Amino acid sequence: MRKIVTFLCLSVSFYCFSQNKEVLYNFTPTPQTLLTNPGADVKYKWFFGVPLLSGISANAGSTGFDAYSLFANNNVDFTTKVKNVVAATSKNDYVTANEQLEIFTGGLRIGGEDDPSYISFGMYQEFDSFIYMPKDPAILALYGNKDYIGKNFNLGDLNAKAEVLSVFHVGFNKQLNEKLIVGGRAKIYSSIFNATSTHNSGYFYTTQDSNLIYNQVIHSDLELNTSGAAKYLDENYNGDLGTDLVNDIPKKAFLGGNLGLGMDLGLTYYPQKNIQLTASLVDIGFINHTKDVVGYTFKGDYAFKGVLTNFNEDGTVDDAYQDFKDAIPFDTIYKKYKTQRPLKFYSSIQYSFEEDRGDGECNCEGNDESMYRSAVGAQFFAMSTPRTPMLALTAYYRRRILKGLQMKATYTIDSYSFSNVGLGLTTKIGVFNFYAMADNLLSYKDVSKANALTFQLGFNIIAGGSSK
Amino acid sequence: MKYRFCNRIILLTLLVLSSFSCSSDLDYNQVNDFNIQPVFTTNLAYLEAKAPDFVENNVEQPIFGYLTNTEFLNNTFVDQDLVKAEMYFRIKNTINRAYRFNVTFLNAAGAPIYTIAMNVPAYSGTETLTEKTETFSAANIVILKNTTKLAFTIVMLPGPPLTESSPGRIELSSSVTAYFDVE
Repeated sequence: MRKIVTFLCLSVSFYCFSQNKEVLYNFTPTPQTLLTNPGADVKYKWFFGVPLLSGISANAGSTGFDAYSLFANNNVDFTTKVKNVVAATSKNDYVTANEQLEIFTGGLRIGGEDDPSYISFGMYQEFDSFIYMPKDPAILALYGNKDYIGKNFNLGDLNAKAEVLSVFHVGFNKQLNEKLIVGGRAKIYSSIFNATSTHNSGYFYTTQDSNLIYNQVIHSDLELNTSGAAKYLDENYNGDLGTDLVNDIPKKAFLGGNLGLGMDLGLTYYPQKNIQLTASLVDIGFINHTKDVVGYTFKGDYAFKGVLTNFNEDGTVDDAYQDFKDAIPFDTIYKKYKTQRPLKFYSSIQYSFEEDRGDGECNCEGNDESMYRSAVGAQFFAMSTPRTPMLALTAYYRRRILKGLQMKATYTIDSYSFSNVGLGLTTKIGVFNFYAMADNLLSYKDVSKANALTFQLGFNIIAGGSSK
Repeated sequence: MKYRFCNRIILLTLLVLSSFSCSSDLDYNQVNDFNIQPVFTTNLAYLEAKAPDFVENNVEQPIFGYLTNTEFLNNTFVDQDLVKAEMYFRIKNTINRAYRFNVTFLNAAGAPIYTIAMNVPAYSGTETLTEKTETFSAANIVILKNTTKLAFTIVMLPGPPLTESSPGRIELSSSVTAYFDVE
């Protein structure tokens, strides 16, 4: 029990992210924007990321509570804080974390400047977790059922998944005509570790009855699937966890894990020169978990009437505990399963203004800089989750401050907060590109009270024009 | 010149961001203080015997006895975290005889280590209701932890004879409320 709570608390302190990269999206001077829209309007001759440093992003979020409400050093008993958090949240509140680290990336233009196509490729490692507040089971564990006679505890509140994987990808981006750019990206996922328990249902209730003192019924349909951790979950495992992980992870990261396929699709469309529409679907894909799988099930029905209930019948008295174990066995299973990647959808509309005309900075050799200095726009983001999709709406302002320095400021409304202000800067000095983006800036005055935090940063070498 | 300016802006922005960034004092070690005290209520036993059940071939059978396993008491969760328990018994009687109801706690060796005895008065026009709550607290909770079997015996005391058509029944309902303290 305590282990579970500790695990939950630690995942909160990890602080996951919503995965919405609203600052990075369509911020085309940064090549990593291609990972949010393979059809982005990018311009470069070639680029490569500084290995391990080209794309570092992390994001964590929780709805309904923050780190402060659990871990504040304020002399309030920790158990009381946990109880308060449980009371203040609903089963649809969640904690999510996402982290991405680009191992390598690169890209180059093929075709001429008049008919450009781009390919880009790379590998990144990703950690993803999504844990719903197990409201009813938490109440049951914290308080027991004594004061909840008549309440139906919903076991379906248990809903969580976590995954570590590496992704190899190749993307193609083509300008079809002056107005339309399309792109696609093929991905191979190599799952290093996966734990999924997202299709649970069941209930437990205690009601009062005239004859029996209580009627207690449990219906349980719980299942947890894992892959990539069988060795460590074996009760006879007594190896050195650190050494084994160091040996195992690289093997699994380089296509030795459970494999899956996926793709991203995207486009950019200019109905007018200064109006831009974009849309993308990221991670349309699945992973087949066939190797190293271990699952646990807890399925069945049981109505408990007492240890002794058949006074009138001859013979032995039932062993209620054994009956219970027989009715709802805790089984270990070894079966294959499939998981969907969280599907992300982005779209945007942008209006550009402040046209640059002959101010002497024009690099007439190509689209080194946008012909517009400023743009305003709106973005929409949706991501599939085990329950209802996560949605976010962003308004933004983009400006080229100087040659080689662009900024994007965002204001986002999502399930975490209504006051999410983000800022991104990307700079290109010679061929050297550095970008840094963060959101929820207002919460930096006390990060412990933030419901969500996101940042991305990285270094690239980019030859040729940056972008619009 | 311009690059230096850019660098300055970036540096300044990062500085401003980092100086605004702070966090309230958080203490993650308090996880170790986590302590929950759930209270679970559940049935222990339900028995019903009709008056004719005490008669077999016109001969009274004055004693019923049943033995039940209480394996659920013998696990580490109960052993480490059960701090208090209340056993509640309610006996309703509409038979014109008095009874003595015993619940005996047996240890692994089969030896009785505790007995709860209840006297049930005979029915005399209105249903008799006998209630008893036995509390096991820190001082004697160990009795429960050492119990592996419960023996329920019902002894009919002398009185007007019963026949196979005598009316009435005696009914026992019992529940347990268990207080845990999990650290």
